[in-house]
Amino acid sequence: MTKPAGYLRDRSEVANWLGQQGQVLLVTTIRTSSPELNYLTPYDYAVVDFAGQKKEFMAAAGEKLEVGDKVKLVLRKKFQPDASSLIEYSLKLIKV
Amino acid sequence: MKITVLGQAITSFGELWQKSLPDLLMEAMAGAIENANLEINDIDAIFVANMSAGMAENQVHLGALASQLLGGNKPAMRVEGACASGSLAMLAGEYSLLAGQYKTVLVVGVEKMTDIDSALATKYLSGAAFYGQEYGSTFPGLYGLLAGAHMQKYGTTRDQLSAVAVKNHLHAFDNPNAQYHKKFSLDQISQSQLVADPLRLLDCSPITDGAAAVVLTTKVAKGLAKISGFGHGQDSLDLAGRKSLTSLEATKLAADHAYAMADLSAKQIQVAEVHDCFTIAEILAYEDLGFAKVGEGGKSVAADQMTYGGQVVVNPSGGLKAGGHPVGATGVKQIAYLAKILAQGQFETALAHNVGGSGATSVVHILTNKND
Repeated sequence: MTKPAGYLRDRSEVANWLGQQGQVLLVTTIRTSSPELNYLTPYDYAVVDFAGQKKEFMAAAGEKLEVGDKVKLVLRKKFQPDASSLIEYSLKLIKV
Repeated sequence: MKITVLGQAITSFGELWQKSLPDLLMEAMAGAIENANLEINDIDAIFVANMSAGMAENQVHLGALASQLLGGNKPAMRVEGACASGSLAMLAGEYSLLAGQYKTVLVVGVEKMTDIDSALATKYLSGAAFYGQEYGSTFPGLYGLLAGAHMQKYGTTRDQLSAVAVKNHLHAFDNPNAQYHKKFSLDQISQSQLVADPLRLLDCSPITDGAAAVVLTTKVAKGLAKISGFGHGQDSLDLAGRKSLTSLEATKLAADHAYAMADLSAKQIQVAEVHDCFTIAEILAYEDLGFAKVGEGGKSVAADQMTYGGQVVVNPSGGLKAGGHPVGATGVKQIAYLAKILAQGQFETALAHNVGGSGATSVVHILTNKND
């Protein structure tokens, strides 16, 4: 779980990148993950070219990406929180 | 000033339920001192390599732990650089010798990884990535991206990846301390369970407990392996920040420095322990270290150029893949293993290549035993 101050700092990154579109350069499908993401496996993870700047992101649940796909950053639940935690949101990729 | 590897010890690598982190640490330290025919009082300082004990064992302050276990109030410090922790501790020890602060030091690497389940181990290991920029990644995932890039650009094949694993599992039969003594076929590797496409379970090094130690000295010692060169390279911590995703720039930088310091070229290296945390990592290493032309690493291993009778013997211990990968111990184990076989006289020039994370940190050592 992200600490509250860290979550707050992350919001500027989210604001800067939300809705940005790019093209998938490389993609893998992760089938064994850390425990908090187990419920999402298998999920795709990609290196994306956003107008000349490369960045890495998880794909949204169920999105199957391929090299060359046009993608967009959207807000999705970061991981499954436990019953007493706040729900965190982060940037993930969907196909355009 | 020459640094000699005066003694070495490697514990068994594997799932060692009966041995704790302090047990492994002490076994390696005592073994190396005994192998060097020294007493504890002959050691001036200790450099300890470890990545995950703070997370997995709630044990930090490993320098103090090693010092207490060895006795004699030896100055000790812990060095961490993910999977390159071992070779960074080697550098710390070497710098202390070359600065003249000490004459004889002990470098020990240790990792206790199997007391936690594989999902938690995956989480802790992913801590070596750039958490804020690579959330959701795993180590197999990052190397899966590198493998995909190499396959796309150079046509590296599934069978060429598998050839690395087949070779290293065969080599491991020569290493009694290896985690696995099991032969695999190309098809068995290629049909094992997918972990992070295109990498499969048998492309991956295992979760391992183990430790290794070496005694380094600037005192004159003949007939033993010498540290003739070393280099340390860095690159962007996250993959997306790198210029190339089909090579590791940190390895090229480290190799350039090491070859220049040793006044040797890649063609003169006879044997090497390289960082094969995943099969693609070994193929990248061939190219970045100059053992193969760019884009032809896969072809080289498939053509048996990286084993006995080929251009250079790579990972005679079985490497990380079959020998095991106790993260903090690996860089020290590579030096210990090469020092042992150099002292036996079979080879005269050797190279050790240790990588941290997905390639942000790389350290290359060159060892020689030419009786000079």
